[in-house]
Amino acid sequence: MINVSSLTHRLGDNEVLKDVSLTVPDGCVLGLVGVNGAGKSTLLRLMCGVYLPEKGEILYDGRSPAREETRQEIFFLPDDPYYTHISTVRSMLNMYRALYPDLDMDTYQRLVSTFALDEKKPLRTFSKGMRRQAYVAVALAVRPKYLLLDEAFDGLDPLSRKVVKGELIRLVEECGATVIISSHSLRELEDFCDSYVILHGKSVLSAGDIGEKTSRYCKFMLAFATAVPGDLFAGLPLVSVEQNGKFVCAVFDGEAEEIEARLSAHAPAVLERQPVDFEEAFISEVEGRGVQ
Amino acid sequence: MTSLRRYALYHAKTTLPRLAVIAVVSLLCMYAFFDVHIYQLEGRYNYGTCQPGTLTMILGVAATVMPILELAGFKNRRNLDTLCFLPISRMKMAVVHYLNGLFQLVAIGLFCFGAAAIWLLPHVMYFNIVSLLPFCALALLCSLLIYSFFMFIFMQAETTVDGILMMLVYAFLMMILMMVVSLMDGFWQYMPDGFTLEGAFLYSPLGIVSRSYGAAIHGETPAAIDGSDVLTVVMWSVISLLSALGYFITFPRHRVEKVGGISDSFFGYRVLIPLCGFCLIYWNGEFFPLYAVILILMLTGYIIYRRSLRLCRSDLLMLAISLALYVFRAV
Repeated sequence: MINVSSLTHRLGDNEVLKDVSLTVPDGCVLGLVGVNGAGKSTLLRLMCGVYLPEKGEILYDGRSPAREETRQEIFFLPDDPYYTHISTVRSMLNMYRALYPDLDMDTYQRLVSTFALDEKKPLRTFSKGMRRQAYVAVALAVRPKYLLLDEAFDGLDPLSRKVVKGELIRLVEECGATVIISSHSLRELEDFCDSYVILHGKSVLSAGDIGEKTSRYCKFMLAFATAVPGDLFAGLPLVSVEQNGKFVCAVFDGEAEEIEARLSAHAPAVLERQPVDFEEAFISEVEGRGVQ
Repeated sequence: MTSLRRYALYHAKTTLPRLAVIAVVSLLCMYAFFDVHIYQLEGRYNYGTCQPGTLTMILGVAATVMPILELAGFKNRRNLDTLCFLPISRMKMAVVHYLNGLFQLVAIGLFCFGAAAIWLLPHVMYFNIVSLLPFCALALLCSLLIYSFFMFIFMQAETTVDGILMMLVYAFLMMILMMVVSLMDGFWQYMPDGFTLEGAFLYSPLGIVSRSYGAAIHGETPAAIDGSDVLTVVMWSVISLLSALGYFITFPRHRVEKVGGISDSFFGYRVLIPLCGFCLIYWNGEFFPLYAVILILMLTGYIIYRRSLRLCRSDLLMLAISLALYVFRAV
């Protein structure tokens, strides 16, 4: 279990995280989301020991990531990993093999052949997506207990995304790994994350189960034969609304049946309830707090 | 196998090509500058000459370049993202990089001295080849002083360019300080006979060894080591020892998030620019054109430090103090 408590960190004069606390249970796949500059990457760097926290603490089963024994169980894949002019997939693998002696070569070989990567070609000749494939192959081959991925799917094509998602689920099921993924692609996270943390304004805005989060909101599409009534949303827990002429799409934070009944009272030509995905829930949450 | 040994082995393996390149370049330098000549007088071979200073020059350059090669990777934030989460403590990383550079420095030294011995072997009757042994040992020790000093200085910078600039200034800093101290009444009275400001140059210990054993290789009696030489070597040994200590203290505490930013270490520009500036102004006295040059150099230093034309209040204060110091000296 990962426990982050009262974490505060500054980058220069800029306070990036303030009093961040969260708990990640073992075997959980957690999506770390937030607008640009929310502090997702900083939080991941603090969690894996790259940055040393100014205040607060991070504990992995009661152990600090500052200890190398703890870091033996952690693997962090940054959003833009460094490679030299002569780095190859094989040379990168050798570096990690030196410090993760239990690296699973079968997993590595399987993924390298799945992605059809040439191990001897310099990484600089790879496309962004291919480099990402190579790093993901190494990260998964390490079989870490805690895998921290920053913008994991950035640059990956849909097929590769499917493979990576499958491998992550496999890692969780086979090794009981805990995976934390930061991403801007919330629809990607919704597919396989159990829980989420929204970072905003230097701290945790919201956290919990993704299913519960999306079920909390309800979305309705409405169309009117005449003009949209001015008091359509009066007294309703409206979160966000988009209006295009006589068509309205609104998201509410409340009981769907009750809201549907009150909307019906305005006699719309069309009233249709639609599922709310995680991205809409995220936007609703962030906009609902008066932030863009 | 411990993480230290595994990382050390990995690092040693990956830096082997670099060692090979440096060895080849060193050999080319030996070929160009070692310059073995046998002179004939009256139809007989009489004496030979060579340039033993080539060996100390190579070691001096290697000891200067090696810290940059070993630590440049730690001046790249993207690289640190992939290094600092690895399951090895930062102290162990510091040890591995220090020792790897040291071993490579020693390897280059042994390689060059070995090449020199092979070169001189056919002319053994004209050269005292045995003196190459103590020459090698002492030259390696002196290059270790430079290496340790620069490992600490480079670690204080947040970028490679800042590190190189700081190394350049620090190589002359002690000399600048001594220039000022030497102006004080009674300074020379307490210095050993023959002491000159040259002794305050970082590379002076290597020069002393080169001078003494250069003569010994040619079969001449080397100039006696005097009090001034001892003072030079002791001074730089103490500074290097403290530098090595400083390196092992600051490396694990270095904040990754500062890398790539302004080099704000106490041992960096913050102290270097005013210190060098004030010393040079004090040494210069009342000569205004030179003061103007020093002022421009200080200003340039601050612009490099801040990477901007907008200087901080503290920088402007230091420039103002430099003007006050000039007026004080002139009056």
